[in-house]
Amino acid sequence: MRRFFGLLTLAVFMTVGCGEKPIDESGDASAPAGADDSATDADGKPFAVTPENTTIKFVGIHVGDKPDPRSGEFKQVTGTIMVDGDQVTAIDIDIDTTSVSTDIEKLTNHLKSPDFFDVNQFPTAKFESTSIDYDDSETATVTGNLTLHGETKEVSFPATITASEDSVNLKSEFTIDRTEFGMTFGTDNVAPEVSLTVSVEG
Amino acid sequence: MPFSVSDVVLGGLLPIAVTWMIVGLCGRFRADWNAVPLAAAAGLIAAVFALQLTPWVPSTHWHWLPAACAAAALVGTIAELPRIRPVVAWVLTIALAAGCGWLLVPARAGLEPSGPAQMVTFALYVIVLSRPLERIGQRLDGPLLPALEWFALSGGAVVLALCGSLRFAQIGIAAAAVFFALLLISLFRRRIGFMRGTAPLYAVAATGCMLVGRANSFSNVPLASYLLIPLAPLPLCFVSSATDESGTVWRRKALLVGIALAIVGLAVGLAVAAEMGGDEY
Repeated sequence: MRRFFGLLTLAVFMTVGCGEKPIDESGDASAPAGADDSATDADGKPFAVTPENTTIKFVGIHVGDKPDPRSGEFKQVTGTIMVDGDQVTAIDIDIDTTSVSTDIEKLTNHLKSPDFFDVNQFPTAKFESTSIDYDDSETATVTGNLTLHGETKEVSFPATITASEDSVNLKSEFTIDRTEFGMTFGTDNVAPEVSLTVSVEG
Repeated sequence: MPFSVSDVVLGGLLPIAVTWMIVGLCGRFRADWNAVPLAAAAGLIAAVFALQLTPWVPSTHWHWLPAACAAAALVGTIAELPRIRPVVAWVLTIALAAGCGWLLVPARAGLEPSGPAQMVTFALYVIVLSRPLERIGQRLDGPLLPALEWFALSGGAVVLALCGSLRFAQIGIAAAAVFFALLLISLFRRRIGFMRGTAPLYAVAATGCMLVGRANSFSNVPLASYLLIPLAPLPLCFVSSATDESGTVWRRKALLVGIALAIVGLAVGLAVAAEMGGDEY
């Protein structure tokens, strides 16, 4: 009887130990490309988005009388901005969520956990513009699909944009509701609204 | 980021209330099967979904924790039925260990240790914890076993909070709360074998929480902290149910309980030391 249990246990362990679970690709988007198809479909000349010329920062606040804002940024950002003359016609940005960074290491680790960005399951985020409507020569309303934490939602935000054949300067500040992207943890303590600041200086 | 009032109520009091209510109701109807494991699992699952700690439909490895705990309670209940042979109980335990390991170990590249190694370790833990703790539960009456399991799970919740996820810490707190409920019930209902069938639930809950917590942690909490927590109640294997007037048995019992508490203390201490310093937020 003991030998039977031993053999059975060994058989189970060998099966489990030798078997490889298929790698979960659900949250692993394709590698960011400098020339995404959707952006280059638009008219114009591509401008490469790099970590050197682009910053994406965010600020979250606590619920209650003491907001104690906490800010951070994504250090690895790539993508393409299409420029036609002096106007931007398309924006396509890929964000490496594992590059999230704050001044406090414990906060950075917490943001990477399943409590917030869950970077192991969702290692990338993406923004693809669908329209850029200019109000005047330098201000525009950018509309597009933001994919974050595995959820894709349409967002619109105002932006100040100046562009030429060789350079793009874009600045925008707007707010998203993290719960719309499935980041629902801790709303009793941390506000759902998160302020984003996007800056391109190239 | 402190816990809110709803976190305390839903995560701490709700599982106690659900567990107590179900045990009480089943006792009133004099069911001929032991409802304690399923009552405990129901309390844990109620807290997890009330706090929305996992989605209803699992889509990634740690989402399977509630289902794994439910399966463990079911296996524990079935394995302790009078007509179930020991060989069947063993087979069910091994299947539970292998199946939950398959579900809870993440399927991503670059795991350290590797995925298969983690699956084997998880399965070993569940088997090594389930059978010995089950024998203890059948021999002892009173609060000693649920108290140590509650203490181990509470220590596990502290480790999970230190490792950087309050979500997993809340799951650990809910698991600790159901064993605290069992501790309270055992004080009023001193019956030998009261904890029959609960060992697989403890094994899967404790080991599973530590596994998913570490797999999703970016902290410096050492592997030893995650490995030690589930093992804490094992010294009870050497506790005798006999009594003697010289006090030898009591002294031995106190020593073994002290060892169990020291294991939890060591695990938590290592985690605290690893995360000491640095700015708080």
